[in-house]
Amino acid sequence: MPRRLFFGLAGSLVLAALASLLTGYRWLSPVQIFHLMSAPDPALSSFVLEYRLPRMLIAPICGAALAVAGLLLQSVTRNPLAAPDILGINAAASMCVVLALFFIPDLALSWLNLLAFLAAVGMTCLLLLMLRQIDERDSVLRLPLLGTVLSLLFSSVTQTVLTLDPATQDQALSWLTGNIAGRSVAQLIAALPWLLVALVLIVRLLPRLDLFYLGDTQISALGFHPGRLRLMAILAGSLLVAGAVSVVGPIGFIGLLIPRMAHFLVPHHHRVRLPVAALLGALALTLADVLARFILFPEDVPVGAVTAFIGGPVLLMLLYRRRRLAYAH
Amino acid sequence: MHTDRVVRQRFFSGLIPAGCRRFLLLALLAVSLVMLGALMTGPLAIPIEGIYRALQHETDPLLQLVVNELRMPRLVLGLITGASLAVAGFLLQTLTRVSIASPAVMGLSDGAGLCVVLALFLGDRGWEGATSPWMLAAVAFAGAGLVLLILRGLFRLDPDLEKMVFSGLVIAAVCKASISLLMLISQSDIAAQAQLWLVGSLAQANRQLNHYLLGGFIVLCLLTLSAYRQIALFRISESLMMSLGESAIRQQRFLYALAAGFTAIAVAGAGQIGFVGLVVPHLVQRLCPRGVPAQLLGNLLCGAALVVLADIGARTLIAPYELPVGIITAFIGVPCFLVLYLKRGKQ
Repeated sequence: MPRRLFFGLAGSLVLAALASLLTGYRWLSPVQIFHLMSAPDPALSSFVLEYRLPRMLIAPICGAALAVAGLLLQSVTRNPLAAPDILGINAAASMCVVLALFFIPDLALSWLNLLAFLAAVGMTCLLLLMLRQIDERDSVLRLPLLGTVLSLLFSSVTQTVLTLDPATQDQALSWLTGNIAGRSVAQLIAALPWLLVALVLIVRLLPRLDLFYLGDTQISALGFHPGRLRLMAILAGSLLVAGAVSVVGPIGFIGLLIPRMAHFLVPHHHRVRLPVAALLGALALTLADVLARFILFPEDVPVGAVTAFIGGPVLLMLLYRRRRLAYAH
Repeated sequence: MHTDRVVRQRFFSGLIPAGCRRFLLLALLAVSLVMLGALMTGPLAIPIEGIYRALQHETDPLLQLVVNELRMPRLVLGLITGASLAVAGFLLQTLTRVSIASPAVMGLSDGAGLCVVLALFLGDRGWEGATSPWMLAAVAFAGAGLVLLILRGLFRLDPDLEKMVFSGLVIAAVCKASISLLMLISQSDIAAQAQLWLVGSLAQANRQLNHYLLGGFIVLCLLTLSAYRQIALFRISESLMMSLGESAIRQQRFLYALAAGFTAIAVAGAGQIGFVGLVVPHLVQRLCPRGVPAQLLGNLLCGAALVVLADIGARTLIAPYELPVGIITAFIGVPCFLVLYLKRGKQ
């Protein structure tokens, strides 16, 4: 079953990526792309290289990163509603970048990435410190509510800086709105090291993620260190979020809903669930990006708005259908 | 004669318990001080007698202009906004029994904000009537009401009201996405105005708008005061509320509508000023634990004082520039919220 699912998802991802390459304001045919490889047409090739190719590459990579980050957070907090956007990690990263650009204009991209990463780590650790005060007999909603209210604070700081200094808006644009159109391959390349380090961490962590089905005391009874595992997962998640947000900006709902979907499809074993979540995330963001080109046809809609419009109602329905939300054990 | 006086005394002491009187007097004092401060401070510091003369139209035109046309509308808008938000938060916390329920957290402010920005957008596209103050308040009410209707429709039968509050936050996220989308496609100075709306600012205060808002505010206050017995019942216990049957549900609807109305007034005037509706009801609950009318009054006064004080800060902290007032309230509100929310978990 997982194998068929796997190939189905991979096949749809390839199809979606093709659609991302070919459709939009200007429709291309696969034949044109083939011709492009044999006989370069400067106008067409620059169009493909500048507009279509970045979108085709960025959407799946960042979608996968966000989905996996969400999965890690949900697993280690055992909370089905944990996600980078819900916990305010996206908002914290945006705020730090905007503040940095306000005080030091023209800061280099790599510094901004580092800053976003530090903000993501700091925010998650802060939340976990608060989480220690939260009893698992309390409502599951405590952590998400805390995170969301904190992200309200962060976004109001961000908005304030923008009203004070509109010039910052142009520089920090990629951190402010979740958008794929207009992002360059260079941004993706700058983010790749972060994502790769995260990948290494995840590969090391993957066999042990299933431990979080147990309680912390049981994990330590088995000879593992729950705090250390959790910290490692958080580091990996923050690296992923920082990398993804530096390219596509704060895109909501992917990190929350895709891991839920993966959980529904592959109920056990993170070994299988994590790749499925990655594929699903890649597929979802690619499709959302294709959809973003057609909603207000000649104009591009930010992909963050598309995910919010689809993800918001879906999350509401989830909350409505699940009468009782519980911690995962 | 004598019995009459005793009855009257009993009646008033029932409305406002003895322990709360001092608090209310202090709150009143605070509001008046803050009002004076708001008129006096700014780029042009004006002494008290200057303000008195300006209000009597007996001084030089510049001072009159500053006091009567710039600072006064702003002060009035701040008072109305703060009081409305605090009462809206009080009503929502009473009805949902969730300690962090408030207009901003439940998505009411964002629903109202989305509708206001939509109206501005339509006004920009040539529909003149859409930006009249009356219309702005009406669409803000429609937006807040719609969010409440969705939430109530989904979670009416669910005992976990915290879920409803969280769903409000989800709706708020969708509304925010819609607002930024509208800002993106409007391509005009509406975007700048909408930006202010997103954080909350008293900068666009004007007399005409204030008149409408003040009228609506007074009507809503009277309606709320007339329902103080019902509010008291809701605060006592849920089972009592339920045992009252159908009329309790109708009352609940009425009070929710009042909360939406208060939110609409605040948002139509000043945009989304967060955390006032969250913090002030808790403060009042702590300082004045009994008596719904007293608590309502306390919320009105403290909310108004908080927003006007925050606005003074917003105008003077980085003097030549002006901060949006929403950020000051956020910085006051978030630590209070954290303390409240985490402390409750320990109990």
